[in-house]
Amino acid sequence: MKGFKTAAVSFAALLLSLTLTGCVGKEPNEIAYIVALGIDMSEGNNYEITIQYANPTEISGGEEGGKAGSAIIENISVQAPNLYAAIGLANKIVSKTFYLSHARIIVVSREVAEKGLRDITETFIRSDDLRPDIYLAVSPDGANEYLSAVKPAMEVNPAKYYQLVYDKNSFMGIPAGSAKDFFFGIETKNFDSFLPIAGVVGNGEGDEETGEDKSSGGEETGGLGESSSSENEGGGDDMSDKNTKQSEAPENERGFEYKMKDYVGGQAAIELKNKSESMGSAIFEGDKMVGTIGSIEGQMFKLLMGDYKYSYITVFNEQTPEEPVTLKMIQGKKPRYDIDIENKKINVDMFLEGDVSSLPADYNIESDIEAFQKSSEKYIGEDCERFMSDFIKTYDSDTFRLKERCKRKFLTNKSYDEFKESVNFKEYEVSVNVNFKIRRTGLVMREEE
Amino acid sequence: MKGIFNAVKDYLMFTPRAREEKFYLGTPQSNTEYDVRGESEATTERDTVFCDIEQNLSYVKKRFTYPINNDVVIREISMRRGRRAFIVFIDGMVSSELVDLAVIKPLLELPFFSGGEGAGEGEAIMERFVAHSQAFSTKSMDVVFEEINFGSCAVFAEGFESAFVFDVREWGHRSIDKPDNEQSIYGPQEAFAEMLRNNTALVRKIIKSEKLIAEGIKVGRKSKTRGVMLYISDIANPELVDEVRRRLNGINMDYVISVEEVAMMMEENTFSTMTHFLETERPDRVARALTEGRVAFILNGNPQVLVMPTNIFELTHSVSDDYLRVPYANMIRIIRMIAIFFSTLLPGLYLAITLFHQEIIPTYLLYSISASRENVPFPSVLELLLMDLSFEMIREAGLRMPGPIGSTLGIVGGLILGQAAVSAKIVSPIMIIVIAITGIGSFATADYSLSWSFRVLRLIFIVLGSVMGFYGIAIGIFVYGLSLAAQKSFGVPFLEPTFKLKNDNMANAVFVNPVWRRENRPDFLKTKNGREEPKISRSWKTKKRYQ
Amino acid sequence: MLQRKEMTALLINVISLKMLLTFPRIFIINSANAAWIQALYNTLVVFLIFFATTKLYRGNKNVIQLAEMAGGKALKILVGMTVFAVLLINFSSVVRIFPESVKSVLLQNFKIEAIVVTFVIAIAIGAYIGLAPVAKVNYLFLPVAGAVLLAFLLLLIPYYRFSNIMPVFGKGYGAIFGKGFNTVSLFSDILFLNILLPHCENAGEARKSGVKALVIGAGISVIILLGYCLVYPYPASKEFIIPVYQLARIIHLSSFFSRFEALFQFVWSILVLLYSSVYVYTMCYVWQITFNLKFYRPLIFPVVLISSVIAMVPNSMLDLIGTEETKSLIVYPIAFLLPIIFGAVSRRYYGEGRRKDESDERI
Repeated sequence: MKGFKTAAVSFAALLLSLTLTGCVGKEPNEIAYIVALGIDMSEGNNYEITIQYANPTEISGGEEGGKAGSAIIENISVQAPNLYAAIGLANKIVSKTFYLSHARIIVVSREVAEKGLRDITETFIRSDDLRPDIYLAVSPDGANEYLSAVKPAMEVNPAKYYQLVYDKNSFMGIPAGSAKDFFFGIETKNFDSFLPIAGVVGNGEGDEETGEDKSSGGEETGGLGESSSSENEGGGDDMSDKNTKQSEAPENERGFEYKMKDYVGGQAAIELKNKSESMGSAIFEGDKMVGTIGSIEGQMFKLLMGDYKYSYITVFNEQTPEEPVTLKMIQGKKPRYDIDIENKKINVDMFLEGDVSSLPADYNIESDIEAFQKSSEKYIGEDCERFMSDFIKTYDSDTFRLKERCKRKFLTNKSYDEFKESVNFKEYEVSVNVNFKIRRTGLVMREEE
Repeated sequence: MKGIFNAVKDYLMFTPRAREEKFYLGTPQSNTEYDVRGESEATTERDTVFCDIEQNLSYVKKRFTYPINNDVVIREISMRRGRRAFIVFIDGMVSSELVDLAVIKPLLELPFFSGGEGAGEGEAIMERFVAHSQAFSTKSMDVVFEEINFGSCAVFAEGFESAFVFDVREWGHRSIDKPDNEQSIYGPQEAFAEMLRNNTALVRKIIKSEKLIAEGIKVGRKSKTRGVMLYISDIANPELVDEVRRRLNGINMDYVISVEEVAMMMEENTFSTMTHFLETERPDRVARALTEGRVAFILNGNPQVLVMPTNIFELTHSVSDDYLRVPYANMIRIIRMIAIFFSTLLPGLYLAITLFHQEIIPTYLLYSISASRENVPFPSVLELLLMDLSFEMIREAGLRMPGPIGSTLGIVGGLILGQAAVSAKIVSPIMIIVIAITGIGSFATADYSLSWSFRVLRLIFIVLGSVMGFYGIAIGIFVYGLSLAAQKSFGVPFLEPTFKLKNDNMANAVFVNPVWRRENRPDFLKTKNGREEPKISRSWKTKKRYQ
Repeated sequence: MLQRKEMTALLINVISLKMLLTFPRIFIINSANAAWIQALYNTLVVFLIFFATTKLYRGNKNVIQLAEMAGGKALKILVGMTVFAVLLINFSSVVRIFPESVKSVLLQNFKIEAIVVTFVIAIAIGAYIGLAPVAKVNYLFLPVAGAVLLAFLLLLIPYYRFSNIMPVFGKGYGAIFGKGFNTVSLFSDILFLNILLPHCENAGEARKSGVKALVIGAGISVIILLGYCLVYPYPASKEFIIPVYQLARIIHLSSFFSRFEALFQFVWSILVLLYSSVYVYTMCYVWQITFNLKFYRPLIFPVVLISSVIAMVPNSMLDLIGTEETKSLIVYPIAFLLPIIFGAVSRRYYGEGRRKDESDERI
């Protein structure tokens, strides 16, 4: 079998020669895995980019297993015109090569968001490393501060921390901000996006900023909260007293989420060790940020969009004006939009279901459940309608995807594009109807007395 | 004291050393001591039995080198009226009882025939007086000697030009026992042993058809080892039978001892990584293969039987798949396929993923791998090859250790050495797991030679995976798949049978089909009679109850 | 001799592999989010052409052999060279695009020459081994590939948004039905059925396998385009170089099961290797028939060398994608017209007598 032997030997020689060309792969421990990226403004046209990477030996090295805490991630900041330039520069500083495939989140600071995220999206879409489902978030306190403040108290795996926080937010009250959807919004100009806000707690300078945020948030949502947030601006007092800050957030006096506080990220101090938190959303018009909304409005937004999975909602009850009723609300079906172009009307039908969780003492909900349902429908509907119409009148951004919902009325792209140019939703009338049913009352059902 | 003095004296006076230290093996010169009568085959082929008994005796003694060759027994007998005769047999290969009763006793009591009557008388004597079941007469000395060498007893009588050969063989042999390598919980528990006739009997008592032909073929020019080619004449394709016979007859070797040598002489491509024969030691498996239309070959002295032709799917089947119910058999087949996949591809894929495609691994696992590799001084490829080599050495060592030590060595080697290597930070723990799963996968492969072919392939995939990642492995699979598709085993393409959704064939590729659905014999064997079962093979299901 | 099912599998691979490379982009540039409608329209056109061809065609000879019968050696050489050139143009784009894609997707830090060399060696080995083993491996592998594709499309269901394919008619009727005619070149590889006709048992079998392959290949193309358009809205979707890879990247079941594109890359590499081996074999076979050579194996090395050289002509990915459209414009008229013309010729030679035999085979 001479022919076979020559073939085998030459094949082996070819393979071995390939090892000599230096085209071998990189060992997994010669790579630094980036967990998060932060982008801040710097002088000139440059960005200051913070690279947060994991330290695997602290996470699971040796036989001791992992320790939660601060040593599992490291941060490094460089100044560069864009992302890959920063990585190239940082590669020269750190011993291991950076690898972007496992990055979970890109945090931008408020200034960068207001300037526009177009070039970052451009980098992101061309890159073969960054995955399409990476999260985006806006940090009013600065991306570097946020990333430095992240010290997961319960997780050993930093990537898991980000994933848990932002996935959960997409469940609860804050829209999922995956980069892919953001990119689609910018490219197609069919809709605009929300992105979550990632805030830092107990920051001295930041308090001033958050104070201003609160006020601006209060003014913009002034239509919603009866309580004037300007009264509660405790920006100048006790910076480090978290309890004061918590109580200074505006309390909602409306029926929907009665007596709940409308937080924006950075205000509610829940965890002591981990100073980072994300709550509330940033509103974008195209690729520029134009404002923020608090967590209550975020919930309403998700209800209107149909992304709301379930959460605990507090509703005002006429029988017990001091103590609200808490329900676990589930969205049964997606809301139905009916947009009438000729008559300029927008009609939204929402379908909600609830399970009773917590009642005030001595209140028997089973006796007048119909009345309770009706009053809840009224509150929720009014709040959502007011939010939606105020929002549409205030901002130009089409986060409710109204233009997309009109697509089915057109046959070709050309006519749709003409519609997009000419339509002005500020002239439209909004009405929201809620269909709310209480399905279950928990494990107990009290009889009428 | 004296010894030392003698040694010093020998050294100083220099007496030459003993002869065995000067002995070097040289080429043999023509030595009359070892002269076999007739060095080329042609001369002994035409030797016939002489009429004169003295000539016969001297011929036999010379050809057997009689007094030196210790176990040959030549006994002279005087028959009635002084007719001389002698018997030749090899001690230890004959049953002395039969020799006494069936050969010597009738010889002594045989009536006298008038001398000089030729072979015709011989036949008559055979028919009338010989009290042994297997006996014949022959004129050729070669036949006589071949039979004596295989345990028969030859009788030379004065005045007859032919000799009589009686088949009285009996020697110590292993009895029929459970199969060693192909165990199954269900099904018959007999296995082939070394005696040829016992083996053919084991197969024949399952099939019980007169159409089962056991064609005798002698392999090996000098050893003339008896082999039997089995096939069912109204099922098997005659071309296949002819091809097998042609290859067997074409083996020119002096001494053939094992059936694996026969297989290696019969196969088309010695250096291919895949075997083309199925070797089994279970008679039920051979019987099932014969009813499908295949051919089997049994060689005397070997408990393995060759079944041909075969295909790659059949090499992955084990015999217990036929005896388990369909859902269980399918599940065990899936597990076996996964084991085969792991035994071949797992190290290559692991290397490809950790060296080139780290984005595929979930993040936390990646941190864990990276951290555990931090302490290891070797690159991944070297570590893997080192562990692979040690695993193979442990496996080979376990084969040679007797009884209880062998099994404990496996445990000792695996656990403690592996654990010690991890603690000493020579290898990472994940590598140990990869190698262990690979090894277990190769143990789970049903056919021994198939597991060997995958062990060889594994090395190629390791090199491909570490050099070119997934792309290299895809190329490796492509080239190997094509080379398998191009191979033929006795004229049947190696990748038959192909998958079908509704399989009504006796042969199946991956999934077992129910027994009542195996209606046709495999179409790639092109059998004479294609139908094994009628359409309705369970008449109890369809016939009306009380009719 | 190829069996009918093996020929079908071969044709399915050859037709639908283009959709797995850069071809969907051409559809989308032309008609935006109505690309799937364009694909359906193209399928209808191809079916018409195919039925016309098979009605005319008689006998078991391929185009080149018929050319010899019609016009002697000169015509045979002309037709043979034309067919060879068409195949070469088609093939060289694959030889260029596939290693580039492997480099950008799988092995980012590898030298491109090494990838090309190994690719070329692998397909040369494949062509050397012969058509029957390649067809058999193809037949065994294609269900696996189909299952993986189906699994992907099912796993993408949470990402489908129907508003992405509205407005339904995209860029307009003119774009879809007028300029969209040119993407019929997706099916131009049906020429293989004609060239490999001597390997099939008879024309009836070949026709059945052709019809089945066209249906399945077209189905796959439409489904891929539909899935892609449902997930990616219009201006974003025309920018990606390998659309199917982008689709596979998006799948995110939970954080553990989120990197399925590895499986896709495996399947895809093996499909491309099979496709290329068939191409090299066919090119050598065409040359062998044209010049009446005895063996085709010595031709493998020169053919592979020529296609690699032509493949390296575009300087960068930009030039490459630019030339794709022009190439497909040249290729498909020849691929469709040649069988029709020579089908008419074969009718003259084989006459009406054969019709009876073929209608018997029609089951």
